[in-house]
Amino acid sequence: MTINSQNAATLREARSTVAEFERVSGLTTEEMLSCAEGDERLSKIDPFDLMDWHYALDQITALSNVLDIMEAAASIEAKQRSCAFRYPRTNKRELTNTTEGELLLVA
Amino acid sequence: MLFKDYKANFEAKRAALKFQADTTFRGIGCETKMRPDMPPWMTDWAILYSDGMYTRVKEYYRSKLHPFYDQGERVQFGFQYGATTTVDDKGMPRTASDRDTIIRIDRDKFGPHLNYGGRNHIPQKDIEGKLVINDVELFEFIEAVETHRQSGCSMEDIFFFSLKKAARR
Repeated sequence: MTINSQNAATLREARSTVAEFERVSGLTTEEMLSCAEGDERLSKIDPFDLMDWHYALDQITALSNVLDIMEAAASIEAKQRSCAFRYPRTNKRELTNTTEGELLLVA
Repeated sequence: MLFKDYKANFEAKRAALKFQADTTFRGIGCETKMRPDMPPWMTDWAILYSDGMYTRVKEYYRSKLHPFYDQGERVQFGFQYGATTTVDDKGMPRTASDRDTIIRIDRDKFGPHLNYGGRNHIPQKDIEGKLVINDVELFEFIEAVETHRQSGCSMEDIFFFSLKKAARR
């Protein structure tokens, strides 16, 4: 999965849902996650809103993970480019067409 | 369950339902937002009857663990039938108070439970009969409400349950 404009919009919407939920419930996401089953603080929350919150949180987690992976991949790619600059790959076809003297020069 | 199978089943069963002409419907139906045909997905659908009552069904499916990550399993649901008192900004009925609720069957952070007869958060252990809260299906609930509305049978008779003495008012 790549982050496209639809995913970015989904991520924005999910973050907005979580923020709105925190505002209305008066509980932070951390507090919500730490609530044990049957916690009285949960009884004031509409169960429909609770589902939206879970859905939004899962979207944020998944899409944020993808962003992390993409950042890591971009970093690796940058390093590879940097390595390629210092140690250019040998073109096999060129190598097979070179004379022994030229090969020695390359070496 | 795969999303495409779930959606096909949902749409087929929804199309087969029969309602009075003045019944209105709200909600997204079922949708997945992140990847086409993949979990997580949400279903949210409301039926608003002309007599001021509503049925709202909402359920949330999450991805199963590897290697079944493309399959969803139901982790939360809320099925409600009661009097419409307030609606949200999308026109969806909000959860009715216990006084206005005929029946609510939920699985959330309280675990599977029933809200019935003016009592809330009745766990499975306080119920006698055939009703298994966690196993109630979305269209089973909608059909039960329709039976209740048309025949006047109580939800206890339709779902074959009774509350244990401790859970009664």
